[in-house]
Amino acid sequence: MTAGGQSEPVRVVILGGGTAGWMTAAALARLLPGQAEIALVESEEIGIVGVGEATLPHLRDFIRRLGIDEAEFMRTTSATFKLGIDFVDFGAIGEHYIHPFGAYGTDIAGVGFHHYWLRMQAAGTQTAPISDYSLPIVAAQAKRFAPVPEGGDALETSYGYAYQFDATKMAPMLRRFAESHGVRRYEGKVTHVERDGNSGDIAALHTDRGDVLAGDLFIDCSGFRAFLIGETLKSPWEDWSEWLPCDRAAALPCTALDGPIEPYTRATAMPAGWRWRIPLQHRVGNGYVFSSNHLSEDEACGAILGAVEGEPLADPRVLKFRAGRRTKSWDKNVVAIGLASGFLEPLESTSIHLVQQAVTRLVELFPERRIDPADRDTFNTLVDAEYDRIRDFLILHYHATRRTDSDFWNHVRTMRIPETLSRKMDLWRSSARVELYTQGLFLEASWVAVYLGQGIVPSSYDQRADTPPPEKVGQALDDLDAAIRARVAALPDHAAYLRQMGGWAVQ
Amino acid sequence: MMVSGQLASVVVVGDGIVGLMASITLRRALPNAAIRLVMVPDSGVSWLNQLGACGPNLHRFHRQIGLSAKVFVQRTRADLVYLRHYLRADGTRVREACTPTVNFVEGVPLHHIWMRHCAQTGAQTPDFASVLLALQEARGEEGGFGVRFDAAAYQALLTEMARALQVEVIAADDITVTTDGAAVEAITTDSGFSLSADLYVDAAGPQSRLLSECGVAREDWSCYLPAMALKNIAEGPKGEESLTYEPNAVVWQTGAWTARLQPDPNAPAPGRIMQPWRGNVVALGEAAMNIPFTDGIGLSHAIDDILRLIALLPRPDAAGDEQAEYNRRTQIAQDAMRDWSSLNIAKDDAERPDTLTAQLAAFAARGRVATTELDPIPTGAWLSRLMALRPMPRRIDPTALALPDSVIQSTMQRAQRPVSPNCM
Repeated sequence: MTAGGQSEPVRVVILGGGTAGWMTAAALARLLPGQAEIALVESEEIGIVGVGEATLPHLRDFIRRLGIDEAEFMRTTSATFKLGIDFVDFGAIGEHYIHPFGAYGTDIAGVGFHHYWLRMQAAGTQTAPISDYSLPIVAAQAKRFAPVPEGGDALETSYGYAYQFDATKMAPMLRRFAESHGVRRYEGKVTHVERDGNSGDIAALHTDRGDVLAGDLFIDCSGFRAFLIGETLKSPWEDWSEWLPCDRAAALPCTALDGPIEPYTRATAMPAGWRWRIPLQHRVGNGYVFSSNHLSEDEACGAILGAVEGEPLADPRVLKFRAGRRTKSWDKNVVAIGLASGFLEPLESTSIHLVQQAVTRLVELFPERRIDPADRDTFNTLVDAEYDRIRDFLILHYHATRRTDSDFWNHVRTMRIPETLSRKMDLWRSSARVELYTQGLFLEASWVAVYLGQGIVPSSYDQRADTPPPEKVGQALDDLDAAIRARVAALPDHAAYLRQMGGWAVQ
Repeated sequence: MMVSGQLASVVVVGDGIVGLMASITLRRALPNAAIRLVMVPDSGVSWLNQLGACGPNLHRFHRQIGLSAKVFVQRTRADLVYLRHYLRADGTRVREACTPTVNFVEGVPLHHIWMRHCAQTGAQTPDFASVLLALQEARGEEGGFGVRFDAAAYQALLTEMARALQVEVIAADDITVTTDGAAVEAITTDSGFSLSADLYVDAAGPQSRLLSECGVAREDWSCYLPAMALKNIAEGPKGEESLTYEPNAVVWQTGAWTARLQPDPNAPAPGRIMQPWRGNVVALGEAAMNIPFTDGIGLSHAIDDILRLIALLPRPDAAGDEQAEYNRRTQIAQDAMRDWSSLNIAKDDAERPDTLTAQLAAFAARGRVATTELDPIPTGAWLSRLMALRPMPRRIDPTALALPDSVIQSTMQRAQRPVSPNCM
């Protein structure tokens, strides 16, 4: 509606019923009742990729905004909680670090905690790793978990958390939600795309069941195929395999071992890539992300079969992808969301986040029946910025290595990197400072975690950290260490908390 | 890790408030360094030395440097500002209140809820300022628009504080700058006193020349902004803040003072120094950028400059990465300040920077506040000002239209005091 009058609901047609499709449908139906008429077409004959068993803390906002109860979500998707990612063998074989959803310590007199820690390291009076000063890391290592308490102090609120869930159960749950909010689902495959002769916009999708779905706005959630944005509109693809050479994943679920459930995802560097390990309530998700230029699919399947800890629950399934993104995720009247829009490997669990971000932006910029090109341009600018920054952060994980044990690691260690990343690394190396930005996914604490975790030690630190007497800084670090250990000791076991909050699905 | 030494000496060249602020902050950050402040005479073109006005960040700044809020208020007769009145040349009036961020109700921007109420009820809707004033954030202890005060008294207070903190204050009628072409080698006062330092800070207002002596060029913004001068500054009648737009002037009245701002070809041209930090020289505040302003944003920006420098203080042998990061952040902030000044002061038919044009278009189309990253002006301030000075957006956000009537009604009932709306 304009300030002057009521307009008709926008007819939205979503192609694809995977995680991206049903997240989009659920959000539009929940947030825009009466403003959008939503249809979704999918085929049961086409499988879903089921991206992202591991997620980021932002997903909690999405679930909350839809009005879905967290415990119900946990039960339905057999989910566990996640405090960070354990990176093993990335900087060098035998090393590991956790990238936490939270900070190290707390700032002192406006100076970041890591500067004080670096000062003590340089003086040789502090040998404890910086991970000892992170509540979420110590909790993750102890396999304990509780959500951030409301009204907690600075230490208690120094972290966030996310979920690790069964992606094959997410889409059905959101489908039920969306259909109960008025989304109409059509079974079928799209056989013909009808376009407007003048504008080139898509006018309708025709299915093999004879349905004709006319719309004002089409959402392409057809996955890697990108049926509308790619095959139909030919929206260009920007390839990033120069920096992110992994182009395959061999996925393999296995049984969970007895014992406590880790509240974190593990990423272990392999000779031609890395493998994930995501503990759920009822099983463990595994996969080997690799470069086909450095390893064959059979070799990768063999490697993941040999690496999993539990009993395999299926044969390894190989997925193919390319790192990169559409130069226009919104082109004409088609918005691509999910894999149709772009792909960044799941090293930092960003796939579902990128879907969530795109859906959020679409709601913010939701058009009238006639699309304003300015909204389209704004959407594309925001999506591009998000992808670009995640890209640089992912490249850092590969480039910041001392590994010389394989062609793959020699390549990524020595490759040319984007200027936007080299500038950030230069600033860190010379001053232990992180290039400041306020938008985008990974902010200062995340960069500090990876820089220090992968052995990029700066040559200096903020000179203001030199001001307090060393014994005072040492005492502050000791006090913090003791406070963190006391807090973690008071936290419940991860699985016990899941049961306590009503999120445990396994009988 | 190879850690080198600390900055041992800093020379600040100042002409008033910003130089004193910078010296005190540097003293706090570098307790072992020699901090010397060369005070050159204010030539009368600095607005910051004459208009006691700052945004809410002044209170945080005072806490950081250890200046008591009570002492500040007593000494400078400071007033918090929660409400501003605009009297336009065509006779229309509008009120403005301000919150730091854009407020949401059930995920929907508050101003769209207000717009929907306007569309449904017209004249029965209280003005948007009333809706904001119902929020605690608009009535906080720091004032939605910050604080207005006696600038001369504030300068005297800062001078006392600097001396108490052993900042060496050196008065000079003039200085001579010696450079090697790219960096400053020494500064010599007219009395022959020579000073050299690891770092030179230029806080001497629009008359600044340290960086120009080092060959740094200036970017002129005369195409976007008028050169303006302050006239008739007088003690203000007590009352709420107002801006009166006359055909060729703006009268800014506060509880502390009244000033008349009008175009003057002899005033320093609006613009900025292309590289605010080059070599061993950093320019802050009006020394780095000169724009006309009609709120506390001028001094707020200078504080941001100071704190940005403190956060990026280099070691003596630094390679320049901090400098590059400082310049990157500062230029983003300056671009935003230029746009803000244009929104507030430039006439409707004036040329607008592309970034402001896009910002105004986004607001006009659908009430969107499309600020850039690291914009020092809070999104809530942008929204309040756009709502006060620009026509109502053409489109109500669909998420607001999707809300139940009960949410609209309960939200609007919080606005206590119905007044004539500025809505359609």
